[in-house]
Amino acid sequence: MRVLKISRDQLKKWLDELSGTVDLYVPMPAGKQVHRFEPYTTFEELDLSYTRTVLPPKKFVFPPEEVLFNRAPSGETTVPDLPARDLVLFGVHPCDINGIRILDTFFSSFDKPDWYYQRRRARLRIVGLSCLPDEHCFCRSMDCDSAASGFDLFFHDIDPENQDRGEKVFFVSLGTVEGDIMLADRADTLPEAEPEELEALLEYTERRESAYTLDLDPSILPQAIKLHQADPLWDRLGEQCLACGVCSLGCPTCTCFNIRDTNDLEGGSSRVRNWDACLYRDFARVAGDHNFRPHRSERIQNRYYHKQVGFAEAFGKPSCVGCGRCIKLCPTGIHFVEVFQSLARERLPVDE
Amino acid sequence: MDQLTVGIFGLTGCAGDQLTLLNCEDELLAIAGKVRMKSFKMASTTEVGGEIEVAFVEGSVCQPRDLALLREVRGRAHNLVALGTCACFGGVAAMDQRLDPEILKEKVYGTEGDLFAIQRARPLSTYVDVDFMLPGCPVEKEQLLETISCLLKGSFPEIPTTPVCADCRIRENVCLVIEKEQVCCGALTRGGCKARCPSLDVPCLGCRGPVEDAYYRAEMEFLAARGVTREVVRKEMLLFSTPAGMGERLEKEFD
Ligand code: SF4
Ligand code: SF4
Ligand code: SF4
Ligand code: SF4
Repeated sequence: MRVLKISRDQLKKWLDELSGTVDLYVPMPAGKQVHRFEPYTTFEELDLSYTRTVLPPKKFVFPPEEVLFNRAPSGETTVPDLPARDLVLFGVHPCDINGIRILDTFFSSFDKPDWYYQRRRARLRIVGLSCLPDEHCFCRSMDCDSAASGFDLFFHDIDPENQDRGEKVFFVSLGTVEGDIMLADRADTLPEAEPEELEALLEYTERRESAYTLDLDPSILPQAIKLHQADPLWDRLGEQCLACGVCSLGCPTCTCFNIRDTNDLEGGSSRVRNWDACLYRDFARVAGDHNFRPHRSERIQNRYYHKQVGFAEAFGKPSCVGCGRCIKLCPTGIHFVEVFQSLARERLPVDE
Repeated sequence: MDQLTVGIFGLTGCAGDQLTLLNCEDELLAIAGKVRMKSFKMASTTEVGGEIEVAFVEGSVCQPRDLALLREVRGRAHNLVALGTCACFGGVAAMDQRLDPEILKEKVYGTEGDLFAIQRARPLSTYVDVDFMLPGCPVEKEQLLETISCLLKGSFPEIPTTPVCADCRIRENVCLVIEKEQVCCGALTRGGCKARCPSLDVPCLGCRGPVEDAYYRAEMEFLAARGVTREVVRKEMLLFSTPAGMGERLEKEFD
């Protein structure tokens, strides 16, 4: 794989130009430790050393709320258009790239691939950016700490703490032909990394490896969950959980949605889908007010079960990339990794 | 349905929800074309008796005459919509049910209070069947229009049942509890306001009333673990986030 070098100034120039031809979204700070993918304004405002955004890139391919079609009073239906321009997401970390790959798998797995997802996905270009883990990251455990594919370009910043150095250089890996095209004529003019620079890149990767503080052995998770479905831990979590649903809304791989119809005074209507979560009471409530999972403990258990067992059995790997959002976002401090550690550590093999 | 016969009624409340309807300036003409208003004291002196398809009732039951009006309206209406948080859950008037209503009356009205009788504030559902709830303080204009539109079509209005935290995180706000250690009732409160307050850096007071499964104990515990006294949390919760009558339970469980 060719690794090119691009200076900070060249990067700025590139993004400035790119923002004129595509819808460019970048990680923007929104307060202490809070970031969002937002439209590019100026290079100085974007934060290249961010850790995670509140919502993952899923919001671009599977938005929180989406009108599927409008129906006029005459009965004629129309599907809202998408902008013609590509949407380039700059600064996506490996966990989130892997998250999108999981969404790709899921949304194309039905008899008919999800058309709404596909058309948003078709205009999405992904530019990756390297990162250092914080105390909530466990992507390495989930084998999502690097992305072999799923990006068009990937920027390595081997000196992320230092953003203002004048001679700062990023290393760029090309992922796809589109990535190559995006860099346009630059790809030919940008120098390739020297062997000793590749050495530095390797050193950075090692430094990153040793920066993880959370660790988890995913191979035992399905078993741990299956064996301990009646564990009192679930009741304790049920007591602690507020059923706010935020862990699921913010998860890069949670895909549950609700579909509803809205009406207007003139007799027109719209069919809308919006994010839903298994943590909510209404999620498993059916006619006659029967509820398949009335208790919070059952709902939170369902979330863990689905991620590590249900999804893994259907798609060959768990639907968790270890991004740490559910840990960071949970107001009551329910900790994904600690839950599994406690299930696995103390109680395997089965006690009875 | 081409035209819906509607009545808008107010019990004890601030009339803010009725005002929301009048504030739908761009839509008022369309509404007028679709709705035959049989009673709407705030907008018109015309008062027509008899059956109505939909009654919107605002405010909580705080006086014997509220109760009489509510019962009369229920008897006439095919559908009764509780309009606003007071009607749905009791609202601020029902904030602290430990206080003697007579003392409250005296504090507010002095001797003038002798002119009318009052009772402990309660939501509509304490006394009559409520078909649909439209919470909010005041209600969201879009949800009011949606409700009218759905009833016109003969379908059920579907108002969000998820908590304010869902709205808040979808807007990618800074969480005031996690990042700023404030007391926020977002997890207990019905969403649908697009997390109006936390989006402006103000904690949610719970003005849309409680979600169906509000976990007061869990909220109390985790805030207490962050060093907030139970008394402070209880006070915040009682303001709006608890249905009428919850105060005593909060006392028993947490004091
Ligand atoms: S389960 Fe948690 S850590 Fe795993 S991908 Fe979802 S939000 Fe990230
Ligand atoms: S974020 Fe925490 S409190 Fe909220 S639903 Fe998830 S586990 Fe429960
Ligand atoms: S600020 Fe309040 S409403 Fe928003 S996520 Fe935090 S607790 Fe929920
Ligand atoms: S954030 Fe809370 S207090 Fe503010 S409008 Fe919404 S429900 Fe009411």
